Parts: sequence; C-alpha cells; structure tokens
Amino acid sequence: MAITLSDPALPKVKIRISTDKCKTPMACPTPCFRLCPQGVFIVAPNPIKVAKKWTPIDNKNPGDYMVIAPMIPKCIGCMICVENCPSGAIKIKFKPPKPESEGETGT
Amino acid sequence: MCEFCFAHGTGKYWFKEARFYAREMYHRVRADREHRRKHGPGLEGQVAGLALQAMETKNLKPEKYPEIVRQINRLTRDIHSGQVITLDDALTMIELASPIAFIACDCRRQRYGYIERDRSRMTCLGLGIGMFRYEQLPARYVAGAEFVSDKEAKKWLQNWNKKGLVHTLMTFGLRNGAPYIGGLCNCSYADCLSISWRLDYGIKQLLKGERVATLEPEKCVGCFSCIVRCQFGALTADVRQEKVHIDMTKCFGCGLCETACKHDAIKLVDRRNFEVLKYDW
Repeated sequence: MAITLSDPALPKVKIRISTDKCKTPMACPTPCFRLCPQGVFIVAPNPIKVAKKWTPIDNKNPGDYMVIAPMIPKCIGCMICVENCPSGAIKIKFKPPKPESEGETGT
Repeated sequence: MCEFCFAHGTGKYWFKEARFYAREMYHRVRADREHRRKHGPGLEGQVAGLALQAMETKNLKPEKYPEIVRQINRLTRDIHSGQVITLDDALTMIELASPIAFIACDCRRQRYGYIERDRSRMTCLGLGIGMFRYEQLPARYVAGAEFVSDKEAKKWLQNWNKKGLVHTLMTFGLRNGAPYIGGLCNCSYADCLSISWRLDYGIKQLLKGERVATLEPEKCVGCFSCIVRCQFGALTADVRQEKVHIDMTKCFGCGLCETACKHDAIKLVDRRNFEVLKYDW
C-alpha cells in the first residue's frame, strides 16, 4: 500500500481548515470527520488550550476542539466535506501531476 | 484517464471500440513481434527479467526499487498489460470480439505447473482473430483452444462472477500507441500473476478499472456478504455504523461487491468524477 500512496503520478493535495470559521466542530450538524468516506479528518482538543492548564472541555464552547487533516494521502477529492461544511471553513487545493508520458517514455 | 484512453480517447471507455479487436490490428502487432524476434532478445524476456530483478531489489536494495518498478511499468504498457473490468463490460466485450475460445491459464502453469485439460476448469478466454492461429504457439496453448458461441461464453462469465473471480482484459503488443485486446481472464489473487505483482510489488502490469465502488449508507444493512468477495482488501467492516466501509484508494473497480449486494447499496461510479482518483491507475 505504501507504494500507491507515495506515487508521484498522483496529484498533491492541500487541505486548509480555518479555526476562525470552524469553532465548535463537535456541535456541527454535518461534521466532515464523520461524513468523509476515507476518514481524512480528526477532531482533537485544541493543543494551545490544553497545554496551558487542564480545563474541562465543553462540546459547545468555541475553540476547545479543532479539526485537523493528517491523513491527506487518503483524500480522493470527492468534495463532500466542502459541500457540507456550514461555515465554509475547509479549502482544498489540487496540484495535478506532470504528464507522465513526456517524462517517462522520452527515454 | 488511463494511458490507453488518453492516447485514443473518443469520449467512451477505450475497450468498447471494435477496432481494438480488429484483424488489421492483429497483423500489425504480429509483424512487430516477428521483427523483434529477429533482432535481438524479445521484449517479453526483458519484462520477466526486470520483474525478477524487482523482487530481489525489494529485499536487498530498497533504494533502487522505485526506479526498477518505473522501468517495468513503462515496458509492460507496450508489451503485455491488462485492466480490471466489470461484468457488464466483459459481456459487451464478448459481443464485440469474435471468435471466443477457452484456453488454459498461463499464470497457473507458471506458478503451480498446473495445466487445465478440462474445459469446465478453464477460466481464461482468448478473444479475436489471433485465436485461429493457436497451433503456432504450442508452448502457450498447451491444452489447445476450444471455440464457443457468444451465449455460452456469457453464461460462463456470469458463473465465474458468482464464484467471485475478477474479470481482466489483457492486451498483447502495441503498435503506434494502440493495443490489441486478445484476452479476457477471470482470476483471483492466489492464481493471477499480474494481480499479485500489482498488490505485492507495485508492478503496474494490471491497471485499475474505469470505475470505483461507492456506498449508499442508507441502503446498507450490514450483512457483509460483499467483504468476502473483494480480492484487493478495499472492503472492511465499519463497527460504529454496522455497515461496510470502502477504501476507494484501494478499490480496483471490479464490481464484485456490487453484484453480491442484494440491497443495491454499492454502486460503481466513474473514476474521473474524483479529483485525485482520476490520476490513480
């Protein structure tokens, strides 16, 4: 499986989630981390808040949780997360790979 | 788009065009092969040598491994490659090509030294005009070739699909960028060399299919009858929802899970609808 993931023929994916727009992910009606068919996203407690001192984490308290996208190689580009995000916090960019036929069959 | 679609894309799936099975194409490929036989070692030998080399380097020199795999991928595309297809595509292929013949599997002969003499055990079909000359290659067609009608071949294809065999088309030779489709294999991971090379070593002799399986979660009951049939390890059980989970990066689009599902929960969607998967072959 590692061979397919590090394949240079696949496009590069960049996922950006703005914490300003997405503040209460645990209270979201259509959460991306549950809708994503590939399981790219993760909901984690905000490390900055947790690191200072222990505070009881509330689902509806803004800024306690944040969504991150660590499993980017799993992304297939179905855009379900972008369509369903109520606050429009997710932005995805695809960088298409160089045409394979030029580089490889030239030799 | 896969390489073949890209080279001669007319908007449809490339293997649904009759010209890839045509007599003219066969003669061109055959002339090319004879030219190669006269001048130096054949390219088929090179592929086999490189594949063996790749398996050694994977253990001994892992840093050289990607380069060797890239070389093989380039060569197999020109000589002998394949693609996973669905049952419906296989049925339309049989309508396009004539004649159709039952032949003994070459992979099983190479792996286990097993040659099927009985037609009920054969799972490979030879397509196209090249099958009339099977006597010229006695080493390849050891058990000969048995010609069948379209109806019978279709019945057998549906039978193999019930058993859970993956349908793959095989191309032989390439001239001016156009391949000649000469085989329709129905096989599994245990027997097929190209499936196991692809999964274990990343050798792209077998390309992924044109479609991907997607799940409609509302319809899935959680019977998990589809999981057993996946040869590529793309289906797993989702315990949270008691439904099946499809990993689309591993899916080859063979459609075996779709035919197993009694509730129409799994549907095959064109690979080109997804931004990343349309480059993944």
